[in-house]
Order: sequence, then structure tokens, then C-alpha cells
Amino acid sequence: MAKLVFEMMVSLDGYINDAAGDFDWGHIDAQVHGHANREGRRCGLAVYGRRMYETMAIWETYQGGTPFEAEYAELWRQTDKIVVSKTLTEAKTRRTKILPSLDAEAMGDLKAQAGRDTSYPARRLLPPIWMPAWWMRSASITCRSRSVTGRRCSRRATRSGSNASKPRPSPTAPFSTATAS
Amino acid sequence: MAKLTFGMNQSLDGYVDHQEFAPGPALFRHWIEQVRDLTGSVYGRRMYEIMRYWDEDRPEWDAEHREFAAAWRRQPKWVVSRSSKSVGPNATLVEDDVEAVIRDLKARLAGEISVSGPDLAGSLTELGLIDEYRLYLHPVVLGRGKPFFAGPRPPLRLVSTDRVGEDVIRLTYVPA
Repeated sequence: MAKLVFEMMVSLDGYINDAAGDFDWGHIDAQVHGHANREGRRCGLAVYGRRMYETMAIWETYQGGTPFEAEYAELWRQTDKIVVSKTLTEAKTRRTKILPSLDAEAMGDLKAQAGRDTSYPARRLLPPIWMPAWWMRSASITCRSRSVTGRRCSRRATRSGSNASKPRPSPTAPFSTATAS
Repeated sequence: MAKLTFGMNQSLDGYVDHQEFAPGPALFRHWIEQVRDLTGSVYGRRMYEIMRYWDEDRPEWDAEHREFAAAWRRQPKWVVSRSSKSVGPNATLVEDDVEAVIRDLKARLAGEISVSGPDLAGSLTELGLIDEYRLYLHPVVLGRGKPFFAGPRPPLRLVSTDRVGEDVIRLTYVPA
């Protein structure tokens, strides 16, 4: 049973790109790139939305300008991919299957079949020259020392973790607000 | 020369709305110690009014609440407000020329002075007066609310990361 993970670089205020849609706010050094490659190696199946797929497809032919990029390019080509799209008719890359839709049951089957983690980079990512896809592990957030204005990593109000079912005890409310230090 | 710091609990997507975060025992202990070590605190009006809660004993408090209240009451407070007429014990009203007042506090005092409230912190960020930012990330996604960075978006450099209790991560940054 594979784990479905969602992982991306986000700013301190929770955006993945800036107001212009650009991704160049984050500095990708060798260490960060190395981390991305290690994460990529754990991924058995990548599930893409169309836009993300089209952004990432450059890795099919791009050889990489650095050893890290070259390594990532190789990883990307070797990873099985599913693209969920109603408009795409054929895949431009190898090891790629186009599906018009993917419901929870089908996703569940994929998880049951996959040997390794399944990644879900559903949002557009960095231009591939800058940034490989991030194979996400749940609850992992890569915080960068910037705040930007752009697209939120999560747009729906959801809650997770132990706080989800815990209503706030009122005596601590002012305390927790004002936790300035 | 005192250091001016801005730290708050917040969601993973950067909102500080306090009703969403109940601190666990480890975080409560952490805040008690933080407040105890402060030279003083600078408040915006709204945040100060919320924190006045601690000026008066409540029957439902346990030992830790009383400990926090004692630490909070002991520290000198400066309240930045044009509309307040008066402030509570151990507090000084700052009605105008906030920049001069804060610069003077930093120059005259030692240790650490905290800023409370994202709007006031935003103004002080704009003036380049905040020396350290501390983000206490809780495992909650809110999707909307009051952002920790209200207005200015300072370039920052990561100093440290610490886990506080089970599920809170503190990220500490200084201006880059």
C-alpha cells in the first residue's frame, strides 16, 4: 500500500508562486536540489494535473545543466506518470498514461498497486530548469525565508492534526493569541 | 541595546487567528518562560485588550495560568493606541511618534522586548525595527484570517528551527 503525498516549496506565508505566477522567489542550491532528488527516488508513481505535467514534461528531453539536474532528469524519465486531463489526448512523454478523470476509488486502487509512494504535484511547480517536481510527504512543508503574494498551497479551509477535534478551552484563548515573545 | 522580537502562534498557511490554537502543556510552559524572561512588551490596542484578561485572577485558573499571569503582570508594557484613554497596571500609553518611542526603548533597555499584534509588527517591520521573527507553526490549515506578515514582506534569513511539544515547530528568522 503506497502513501499518497503532496509536497511543495512554499513561502513562509503559504504561497507556492508569486503574484505573477513565477517561481523564482526560492533559491535552489545544491543541497535543496539533492533533497528533491532523494524525495524523487522514493516516488513510484507521479499523478499530475495537465498544467503541471506540461510544465514538467521538459525533463523528458532536458539533460540538466548541473549534475543534480541531470540526476533529476533521469529520475523523472524513469518514473511512471499519470496525467489527469480531459483535454489531452496523447502523452508526449514515455511511461505516461492519460486519464480523463481519477476518482477516490481509482486512486485507492493505484495506492494499493503501487509499491512506493505516489506523489501528487497537482499545482504548477517551478519552471523545471529551476525546480524538480517535489514528491510530497504528507505534512512536510519546505519553508523558505520569504513571504510572497501568489497562489496558496492550500485554498480550502481544512484542519489536520490533533487540534482538529479539540475546541479551544476558553481560559487559554487570550494566552494563545498573545503569545508574543 | 534591547532586541525587538515578534513571535506568534499561527497556522501552516500563516494565519494567527488565536481561537484556532489551543496550546498544549509544553507550549504553555514555553510561553510562561518566554514572558518571564522579557524586558517588556509593546502592544497594539486590540492585542492589549485581549491580553488584559491576565490582569485579573480567575477562579478557573490552574497553577500554570497563575504563573503566566504573574509573569505577564510583572513585565512593563507599552500600548500603542490613538483611541485608548487609559491603560491598565504596569502599562504606558504611546499615542504618537511610535518610532521614536520604540527606538528609545531599544537604545535604553537591555534584553528582549516583544511586539504583539501583526498590524503593529507590520508598521515596525516597515521601520526596520524588528530584530527577530518567530513563527510557531501549528498543524492547522485555516485558508483565511489575519496573516502573521501584515503588509510588509521582509527579506529574512533562517536562524533556527525547534520543535515545541508534540506538534508545534518554531522557526526563527532575522532580517536578511
